[in-house]
Amino acid sequence: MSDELENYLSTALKRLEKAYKEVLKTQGYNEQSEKLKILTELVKEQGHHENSSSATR
Amino acid sequence: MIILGISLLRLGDLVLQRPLIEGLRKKHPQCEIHMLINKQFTHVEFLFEGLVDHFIYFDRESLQKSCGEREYNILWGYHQLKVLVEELNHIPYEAVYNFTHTRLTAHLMGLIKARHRIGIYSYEGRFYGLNNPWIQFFNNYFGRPEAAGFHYTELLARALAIPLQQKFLKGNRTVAQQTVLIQGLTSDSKKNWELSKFQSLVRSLEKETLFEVKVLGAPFERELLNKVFADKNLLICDFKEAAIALQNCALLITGDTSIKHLGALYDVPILELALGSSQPLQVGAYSNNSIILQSRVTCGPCGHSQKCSQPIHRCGETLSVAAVYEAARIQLNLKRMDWENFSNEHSELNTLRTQIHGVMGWSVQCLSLTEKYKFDEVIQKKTMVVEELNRQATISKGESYERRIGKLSVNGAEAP
Repeated sequence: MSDELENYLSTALKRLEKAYKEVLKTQGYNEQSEKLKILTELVKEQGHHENSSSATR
Repeated sequence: MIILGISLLRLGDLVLQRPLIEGLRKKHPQCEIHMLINKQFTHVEFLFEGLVDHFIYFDRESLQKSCGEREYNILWGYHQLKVLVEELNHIPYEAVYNFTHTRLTAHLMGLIKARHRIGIYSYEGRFYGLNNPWIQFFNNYFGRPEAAGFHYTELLARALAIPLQQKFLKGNRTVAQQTVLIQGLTSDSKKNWELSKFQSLVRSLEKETLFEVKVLGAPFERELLNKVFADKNLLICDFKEAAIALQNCALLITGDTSIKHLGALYDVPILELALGSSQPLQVGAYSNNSIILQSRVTCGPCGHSQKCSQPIHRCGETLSVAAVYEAARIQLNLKRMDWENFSNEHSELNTLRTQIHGVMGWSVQCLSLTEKYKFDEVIQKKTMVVEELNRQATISKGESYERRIGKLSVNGAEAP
């Protein structure tokens, strides 16, 4: 993974986690917070498993 | 009644889950089964004909791009998810199964309205669904040495209480099996054997046997493969065409790939070269008599998402062309040497054979006498763990386990 992509993912992750915390603070656990968690996990998976998005064999 | 299955891992995992979907169909013959899969895997739907009634797609690539690329607005991904969840909740699901067992799908499960949720799901910031000893074992140990000997497919079936029967797909054999297929590339460079070694293997097989040798590749791999192999040796094809080729081949030589699992579904004779992070004791071919050659190196198997820690690719270097060629000849019944002699001659390798027994389920047998005891210990340990988990399941019926929910590992328990 390139450094540029890694940095960008790291920034995206921070933004998503911040948004998640804000939603929790203002609204508690709800559908919005779950969707933000899904996006957060997607970014984490991309970081861990670069190939998970590819139809490689 | 409609059931939804969620499978959002990689291609190989989806292929490995086919026997589970078959089990689910058998368990609920009258049900309509829907599957939520990654959008880029629409080309494997043919494997689920007669089992799955409807596919729904998770656009992982676009969603990941929306989070990871500057051109996208991050809210686009959020909106797409909202649309997907609304679409899913428009269907009155009786039950939803989480075949993926990751945090991502646990959160998704939490958003889907269904009477029953099987597998992990999230609710108000906590994970639930780890309500039997088997799913706890899967969650805590899959991918780790403690779960050696437990095949991914079997363990997931136990975790989700889906009956599993070994049943191979009937292939359409149209020609005599005179082809040896080679899947040279995997999705991870650590698992790759050098293409130049495959080239030598192809030459030896062509020179010394009457078999035609074809190297399988996806269209995007053509350029790389063309640098090493002649056009006549290449079979560049999609997944469905690869399935047809497999049904008519005498032997598949492959690394740890989805093609290996596809071959196992059709009961194709397989010679697996288990390198890098390949975990043959957990995700070897789910079939009988598949032979696995694993280099005996202290650094292997290495971690799934780690780079190779060695200055040279030791496991790949240790596995010689001569050993693979000889093993291929034995698998093709061209050589009368038995596996025990082969193993003794190649003490640098673990030579393993997969088996599926009625009672024991899937197991890996070591064919080398000097190392056999180590692998026998794995089988013995598996037997004890199976007995213990079954005993706990009978006693608790799951109730006490709900209270002892273990933590979900960072990457969930996806197949290595």
